[in-house]
Amino acid sequence: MSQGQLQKIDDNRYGLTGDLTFQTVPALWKSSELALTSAGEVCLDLCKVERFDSSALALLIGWMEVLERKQLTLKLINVPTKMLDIARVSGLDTMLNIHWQP
Amino acid sequence: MDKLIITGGMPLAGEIRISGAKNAALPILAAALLADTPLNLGNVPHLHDITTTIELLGRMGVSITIGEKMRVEIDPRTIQHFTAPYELVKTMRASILVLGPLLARFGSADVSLPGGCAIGSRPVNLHIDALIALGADISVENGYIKARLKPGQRLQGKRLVMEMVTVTGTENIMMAATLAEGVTIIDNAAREPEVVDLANCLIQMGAKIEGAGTDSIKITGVANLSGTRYDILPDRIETGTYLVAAAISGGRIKVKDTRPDLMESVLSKLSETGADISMGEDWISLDMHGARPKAVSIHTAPYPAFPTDMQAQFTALNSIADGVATITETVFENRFMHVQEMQRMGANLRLEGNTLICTGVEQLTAAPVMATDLRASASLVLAGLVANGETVVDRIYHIDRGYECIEEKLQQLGAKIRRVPG
Repeated sequence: MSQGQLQKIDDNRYGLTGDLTFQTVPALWKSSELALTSAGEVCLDLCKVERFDSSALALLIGWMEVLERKQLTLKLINVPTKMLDIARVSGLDTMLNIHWQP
Repeated sequence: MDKLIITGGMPLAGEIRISGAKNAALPILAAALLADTPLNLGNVPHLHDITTTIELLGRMGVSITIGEKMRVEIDPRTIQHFTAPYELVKTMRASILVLGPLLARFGSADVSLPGGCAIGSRPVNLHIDALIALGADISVENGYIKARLKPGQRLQGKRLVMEMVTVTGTENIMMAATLAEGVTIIDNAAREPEVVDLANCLIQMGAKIEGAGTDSIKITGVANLSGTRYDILPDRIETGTYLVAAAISGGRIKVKDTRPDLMESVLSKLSETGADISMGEDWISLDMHGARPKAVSIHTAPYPAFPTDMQAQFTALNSIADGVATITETVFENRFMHVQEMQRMGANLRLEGNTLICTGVEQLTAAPVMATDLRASASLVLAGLVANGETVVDRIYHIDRGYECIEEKLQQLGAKIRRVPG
């Protein structure tokens, strides 16, 4: 199991890597709540996410709410197809701002 | 609201995989409330009603995790509330299925009455009366069924004769009885395969159940049930719908990951249409050899007779079939709402009481039509597959409740169909 990580790529862009599961998301949430910041829209690239479950969606929605309080938006790119399936069956697909689906 | 646009005239060809059965998944998701450890389910279909059930359980405080392979793990140990609220129950009548498990496991359940149903009367008093007979204290207040047991009290097993055959009634009582004290016998029980699937899952969880699939089910109560790993039964109605799609279009398809043994009545009727059917343990192929189907008469009744959930689809088939046939509906008194919509497409259908007289026409013509319920919406899609021109089916949120990725699966079979977001 590889720990999920949030990495800053440039001013507005972050990348998520590793496993985003029930086991790894709580620690990532704790360590990252204040890390997401940007001058405008925050772009989050999910192309390097390995294993995931619905906890990943809880994390993304948590970050969305944090950014909304700062009047920022979260844009998701390269979202894995299976994650979209989980979002759909969870009724969350319309909440997420998804672009460039693979 | 989303619409489906279908250009008719393509004989369907290809292979598709059948999804898990919604009507098996819904009670099994509710059954998770009975366990004292997590229940892990596979082959759960991606449908709106599943989302609603997950939301319902989540609102009670139940922890739910969905894995990459779409396995759903339900951990009831975090439950905090024993309520099924009106705003969810009114969108999905099957929410009543949490009543028995909540009462049996936690001694308390507040479940909103579901209200009216488009296709007919489906009273829940049968569920309430049976639980009262097992020792529950139940009142109906402010639109809610309030069910209680005294602290430390368990439901008491008893022989129950159901006034009419009810699938969700059988399921609710069977689930409640698993944790009752003593033996419960449900006579005039529903025999549907989905009831058997629930029983099989409960048995794997530690329940003692005999006779599921017959009209008399015996449940010997146990002190507790544990979570397990279980895969949901394939959907026999989805299977039948795609086979009818092949038959109506003069096509040739194979459906995989299904259970031909659960579909005897439907396969028999499809053979009567002139379809060439072959099957294996978990697949069915149907070939019309490009021919027009022959009209077939249908009489719906509880399983193992011809299912009411396939009536509308066969109405679509008979509308272009060669000959005249009757469709008699004995289960739901108002399940012909698709008829007027098909008449807009040129179908020659005449309703007399609960019998529809279908005179097949050579060709349907495309029209804008409106779906009124799940199976009616499927039948309009089937009609659209053979109509001349472009059929627009509105209100397809109905179809999303029971058919997983319908436009993708039909596209895989060569249909010209697309979804237009509302």
